[in-house]
Amino acid sequence: MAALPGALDRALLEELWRASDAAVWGLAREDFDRILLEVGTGWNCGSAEGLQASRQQQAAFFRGLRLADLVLARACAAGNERAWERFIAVYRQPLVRAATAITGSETLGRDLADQLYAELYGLTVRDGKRRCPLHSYRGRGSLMGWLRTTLAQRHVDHHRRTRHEEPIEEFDAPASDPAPGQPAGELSALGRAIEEALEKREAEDRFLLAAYYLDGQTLKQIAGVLGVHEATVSRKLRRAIEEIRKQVLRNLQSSGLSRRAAQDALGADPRDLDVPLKKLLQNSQTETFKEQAAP
Amino acid sequence: MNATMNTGGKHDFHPDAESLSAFAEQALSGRERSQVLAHLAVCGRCRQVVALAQEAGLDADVRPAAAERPAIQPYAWWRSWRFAWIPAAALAASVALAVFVHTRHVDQSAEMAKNERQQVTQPAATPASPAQQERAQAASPVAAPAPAKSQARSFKRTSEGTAPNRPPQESVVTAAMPAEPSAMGRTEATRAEAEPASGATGQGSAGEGSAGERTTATYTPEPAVDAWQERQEKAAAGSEQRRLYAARAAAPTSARGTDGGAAGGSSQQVTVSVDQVAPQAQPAARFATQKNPLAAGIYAGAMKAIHLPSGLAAVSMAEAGHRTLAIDEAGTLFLSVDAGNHWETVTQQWTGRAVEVRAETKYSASATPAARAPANSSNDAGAAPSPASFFEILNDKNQAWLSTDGEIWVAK
Repeated sequence: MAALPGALDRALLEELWRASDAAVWGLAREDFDRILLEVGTGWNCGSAEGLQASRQQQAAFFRGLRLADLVLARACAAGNERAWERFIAVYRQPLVRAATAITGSETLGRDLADQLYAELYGLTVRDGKRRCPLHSYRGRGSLMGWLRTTLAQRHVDHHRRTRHEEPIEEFDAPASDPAPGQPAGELSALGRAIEEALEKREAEDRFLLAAYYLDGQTLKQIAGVLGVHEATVSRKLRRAIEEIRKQVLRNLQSSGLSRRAAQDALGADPRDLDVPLKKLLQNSQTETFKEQAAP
Repeated sequence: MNATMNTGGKHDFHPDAESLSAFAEQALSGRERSQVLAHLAVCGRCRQVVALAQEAGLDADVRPAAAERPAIQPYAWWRSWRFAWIPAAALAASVALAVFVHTRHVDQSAEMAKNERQQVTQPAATPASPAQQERAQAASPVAAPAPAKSQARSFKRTSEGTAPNRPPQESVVTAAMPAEPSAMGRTEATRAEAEPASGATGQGSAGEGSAGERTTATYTPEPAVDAWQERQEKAAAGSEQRRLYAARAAAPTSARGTDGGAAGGSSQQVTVSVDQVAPQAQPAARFATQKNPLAAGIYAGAMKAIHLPSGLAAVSMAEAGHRTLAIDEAGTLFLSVDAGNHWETVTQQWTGRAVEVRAETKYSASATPAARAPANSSNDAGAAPSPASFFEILNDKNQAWLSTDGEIWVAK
């Protein structure tokens, strides 16, 4: 990707330069081209790893960037006062409101927003260099969306670091006696069938199941994340459950149970099962991020 | 795709904030989106981050307007209700208007009823013509309306202690008129005075008031008002036709009105050709003063309302007792014994084409069809109490057949 700027159409670069209003924030044309090179290289112009994006793909990728937000963020990271004035005027209050909504508390929200704002302003110095998180923004989504997600990340990570173990208020004790006619071998076969069925589900189905049943998100929340209608989420969830049930039945039959026995096994008390559903849904780290984290 | 290191999470590597943000904003390509989705499917932390950011975005969209408001506002409690006053005031005004209109309508109805009773007991107490009205007003202690005031468009009421003046035809018109819209603000008497047939020049007086109070209303009739009255009269005539026809179906003699009211049990002969129906329908609207067109109009409307099994229009109809006969345009005779609700075809027992059917009544015990007398002329109150009715049909050659029940016919 090092040859990316040279491969870019000069007319496209000129078009992007004019559309970005980068000159307003004191960015030189060379700086702008360098930023585009960095962004294009980091995202590989939206193409898969190891593939060279065509000119059309590159043009589509760069035209899809939030150039105005990108140059403003980079100008702020470079310490441009006018850019900061603009940033404060546009994003200061929304930042506080978003933090308040995320934390559920105005005090905590203001603290969270102030902390991020201090970091954004570059008060953090590491290795003798002033660090600004705005450097990591590359214009793929909106700057406000990036700020909100950053706030949410910090809040969740802080919560996970500082939360204390709390006693389980409602302990769901397993059934004392397994139902008669449910031998241990049958239950273990059922557990294996469920594990296999869940592992075979697609990522979207597993996301829906985890978000709905593990996180307790509403259909509306899930629909907002996926950008679809609530009814679509509901329909996909219902279909996923039906298919998992069918798959479990098939797995049980393939393990040697008759159809009748497989159906009877599905009626087992869930508390008798030793199936770590949360583990199944949460513990399979995707290969993409494993690979990228390796270096 | 980028991954950032988070030491506190269950998974060491997660998509960065921009990837998650772009995922929620649908800004990623299909391949990138599926990668993030695959991670979200197994990472509760990132699902939580995305969900929180999404909710914060929704809240931020909703909250700005409220956040811009100052924390403390003087008279905030009142300002919060300021917009509620508008519909409340409109509702109160509507209720007040409805009560006023209803009260006025009730008062007018009560006054009309009172005037009706007075008109019945003193029918000749009021002058009929403008000259008579002027004389009566001059002789009366009640102040006559000034000519200038009579030109005014709206009412002017003055308190009055005497009975209102009414034209002589008022009782007829009032009886025929439907209830007047209260918005017009006029009584039946004033509208009757505005009728051109009354001979008034536009000036008149009428009683109006409530709870014992009487007022005089002066006005000038206008073409628009007259047109409205015309429509009201026509509507009243139509409703009167329907009412009379229904009553006539139940009791055939009641349709005769004042002419045949004393001849209980007698039948009426009505023969109306199709050509006569149209021209007679219009004069029927003037039934208040024209009796014969009224009867013609009533029966023309009645025949129009008949739905014969043949689907053709009735050209002649007669009834006696509880039997009704009708001839359609094709000359087919139909019989109904339930006031026209159901019809049966009568087998043809005559020659030619039946064109007319009549019903006649003879009031002597030994009466024969040949000695019949027309029903319209037998109005004497001393008629025999047990009349004998029979029907007669005429064909296109003016030959007649007789029947007592409408089903069996013999040549005359």
